[in-house]
Amino acid sequence: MLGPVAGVDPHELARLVAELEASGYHRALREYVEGRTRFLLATELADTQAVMKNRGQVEELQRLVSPVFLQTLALSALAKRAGERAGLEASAAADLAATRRDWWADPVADEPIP
Amino acid sequence: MADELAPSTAPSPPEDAGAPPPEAPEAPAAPNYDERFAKLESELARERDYRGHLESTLRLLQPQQAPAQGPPPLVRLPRDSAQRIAATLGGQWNEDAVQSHAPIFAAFLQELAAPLLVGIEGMADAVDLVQARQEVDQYETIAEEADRVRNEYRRAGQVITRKQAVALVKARRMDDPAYVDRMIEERAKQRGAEHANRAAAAGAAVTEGGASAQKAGPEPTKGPRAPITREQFASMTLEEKRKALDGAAL
Repeated sequence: MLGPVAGVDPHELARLVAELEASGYHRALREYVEGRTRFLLATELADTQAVMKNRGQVEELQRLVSPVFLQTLALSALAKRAGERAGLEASAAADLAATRRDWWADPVADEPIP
Repeated sequence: MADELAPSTAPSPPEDAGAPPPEAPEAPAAPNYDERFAKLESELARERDYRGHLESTLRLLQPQQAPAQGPPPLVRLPRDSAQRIAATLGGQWNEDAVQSHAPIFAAFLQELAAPLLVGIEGMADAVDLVQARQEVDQYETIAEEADRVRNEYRRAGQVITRKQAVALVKARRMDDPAYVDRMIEERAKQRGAEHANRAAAAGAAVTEGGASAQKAGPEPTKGPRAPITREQFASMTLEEKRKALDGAAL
């Protein structure tokens, strides 16, 4: 609906999401979420407030295994890498500007005459 | 500055010397320049010290500037790791060769694996946050301090979970007797509330269903005991009186 995110390669994003989803950590996370959700749903509560809190916790856990969560993580990782690349390019450009010398400028002439 | 210029701009006496001076006002005493210079110098030194203090305070208050951006330093493996890798590869590989190749592999890994590692790190952080919020009672009240402790550890090169940080914060707070008193009071309140709930639940169980619904086992063969009159009690034997008084509260 909103179109691709500017500055992010959609193929790379999809590949990173798939890699994250295939990682062992995500598998363990899914198992943890399922177990914890089962426990929360099986807990019998009489207090209305406790029931609402329980339901909120289940929703919070479900969010961890939703595809949007992985996409958010992948986007932030790519953004971080882009920021690092930009920093490296800026430092390289600064180094180049510092060492660059116009052909008419004579560094020897700037040195004090002994 | 005005007081420095004052002596030089003082009005000079009139030039017409013919007439006697009509009761000229007393000429001001010659200013002691040495004394004034000494005073000004001491003031200047004091102001300089004061300014130095202010500048150092200001420098401390300013946010720490990020280190100058530059190319990242080349990766070097710990010596043990390099020797282990050299031993694993065998052949011509030695520690120096491994160390010379380390930056190349590090750059490749940085490019290829960094986003994946950042993603997994983010996943771990989110899970840690959810776990802490769900499993630690009133995490909100302690979250700020726990995050501060985690940052301290991270600066020291160690990563700890939020639950570990909460345990550390609680352990630190235990040194404060007021905190311990408050904890004891809260615990007493909790226990009181638990007892009240249990009693209310027990009372509800007795009254809701009635005696016949709650009782397990066969129906009692005897009916409820009728109150005994004074005459009946007097005519009882000692054994019967004992039975009648069994369990009665005086």
